Amino acid sequence: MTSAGRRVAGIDRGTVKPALLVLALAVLMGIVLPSIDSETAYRDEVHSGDLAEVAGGITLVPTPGWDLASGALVGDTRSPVGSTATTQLVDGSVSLEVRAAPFEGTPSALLTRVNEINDDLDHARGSVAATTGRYVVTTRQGVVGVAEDFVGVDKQGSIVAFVFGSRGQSTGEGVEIVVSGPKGPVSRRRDDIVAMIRSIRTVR
Amino acid sequence: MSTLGDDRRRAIEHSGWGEEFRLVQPHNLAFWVYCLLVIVGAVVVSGQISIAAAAYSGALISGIIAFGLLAVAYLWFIHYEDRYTTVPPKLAAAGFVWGGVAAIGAFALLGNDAVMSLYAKAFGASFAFDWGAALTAPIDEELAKGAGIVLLVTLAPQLIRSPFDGLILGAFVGLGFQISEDISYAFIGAANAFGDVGAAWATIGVRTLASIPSHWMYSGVFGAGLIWFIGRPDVPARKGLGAGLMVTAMLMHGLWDASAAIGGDSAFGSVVPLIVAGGIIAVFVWVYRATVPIEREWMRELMAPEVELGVVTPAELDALAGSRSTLRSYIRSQPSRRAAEHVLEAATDLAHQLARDGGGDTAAVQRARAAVARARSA
Repeated sequence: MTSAGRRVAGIDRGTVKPALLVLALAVLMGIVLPSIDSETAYRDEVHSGDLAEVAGGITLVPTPGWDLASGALVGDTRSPVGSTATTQLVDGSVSLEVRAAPFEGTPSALLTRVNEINDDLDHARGSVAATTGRYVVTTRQGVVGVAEDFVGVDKQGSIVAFVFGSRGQSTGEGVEIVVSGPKGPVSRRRDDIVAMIRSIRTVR
Repeated sequence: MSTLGDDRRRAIEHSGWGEEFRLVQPHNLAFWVYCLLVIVGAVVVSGQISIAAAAYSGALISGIIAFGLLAVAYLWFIHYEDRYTTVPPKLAAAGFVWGGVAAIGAFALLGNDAVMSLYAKAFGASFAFDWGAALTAPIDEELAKGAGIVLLVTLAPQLIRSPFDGLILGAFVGLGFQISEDISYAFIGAANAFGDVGAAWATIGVRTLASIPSHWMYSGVFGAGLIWFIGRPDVPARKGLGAGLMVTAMLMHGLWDASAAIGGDSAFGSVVPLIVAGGIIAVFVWVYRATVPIEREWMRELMAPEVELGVVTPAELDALAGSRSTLRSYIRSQPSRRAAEHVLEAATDLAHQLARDGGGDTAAVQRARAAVARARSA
């Protein structure tokens, strides 16, 4: 058989099967799985009495009915939660994301750092968001943080910063909370959101 | 001598030694798929890099420098271990690029996020927290890297002729993936710590320490398994062994990712990663030892006629075609170690020249023989 006889549309027949196999795998992983994921809703509903561990020794009381999208519930995981961790709770289109990491400074300095990073990211992504003035937020444990609200093109929300003292350690634990979602749904869940933010406490 | 000559020609033909690698093959669909997925991967990866450069440039630069140096060290080591019928540099580079660009950008970044999220949705966030990474990355990433080996075997069937070739090529693919992932972890470390570059350096330290039982080993084992699975002209297919090794590569990866969850929050927890790392290294060494004999045999068949011609001695042939310890023992036994090393280096160059020239008695081969004689008399 000539080489032309072994070809289809100028491609060697023997190379078609392995190449298409690889292409199919790429389509599965790059297109099909993300599509299935975007069509699937969270259903890990939080129950009364559950406690989310947002960092080693720092907890938050999630509102029952919200879904835990990522993170760990106290007593529910084998892996230890470190000093750098993220937790996300969602309820419909509203998300409450908590990021914790060691931080040396005041809550105001942490919020300034977060804003600088967000400005850089917004610039890189070509997105814009306007922020309000800062205001004080106090947890039920008495830890004082600082917050500001933001309004973007399709989302609005708040950013809150706390710095929790770590017993026996020179560096505190910074906690950044970002609440975001469409205007109406965020307003309707205001009480839930405030309650969750005020519930953050250190157990050390 | 005639039998030895036949053996030499057979070794060259079956090993593919001396063949050049050509990536651009318009009639080969694997070439177009390779290019397409590398481009898609480059677009995805560059999107990430531009975000990182905007907000975490210090961490990004630190990661590129530190892991760039680590890449050089591992590239040297893999090439050092591939001392018989070596994988051509262009083929190794194509594997490295596939791992670092296509496997990451066109497969893993998109697939991993989706599967991790689906685990959280199906089984809860706590399950995903403990086991999500261990049940996602080993499958997604080993298949993504393995896909590159499949394409390269289709592009260079004459060059990838033994499970050892699969091991070495897989190691290059895995290393590309590892370095790309390491760099992204450096700026993700900073992103998770409010942009702190110190956190990036902590990540760099941890990832460097954990770089031995990592992707280059998993993909090396996967690559050897893949070649055993499909078989080559001189290596009959062993489907059970091949499939077993590909699954083993996924298990190695999964056990490493699950170390924290297996150990739990106990004193035993810190020991688990060490035990898992030891197991991964042991499997890799076993696969290396199981795959290397055919390469040594090809070297012996290629160079045996040179013993008849008096160019190399039987002891030198044993050293050339033997294990690293045989080589070291031979050099130590010589009155001048430096001279012995030079002779063996020249003999290795002669072997490559013979392979390139199809075993013929060309002018280049004669020059290489003369170089061996000069090294001996120096």
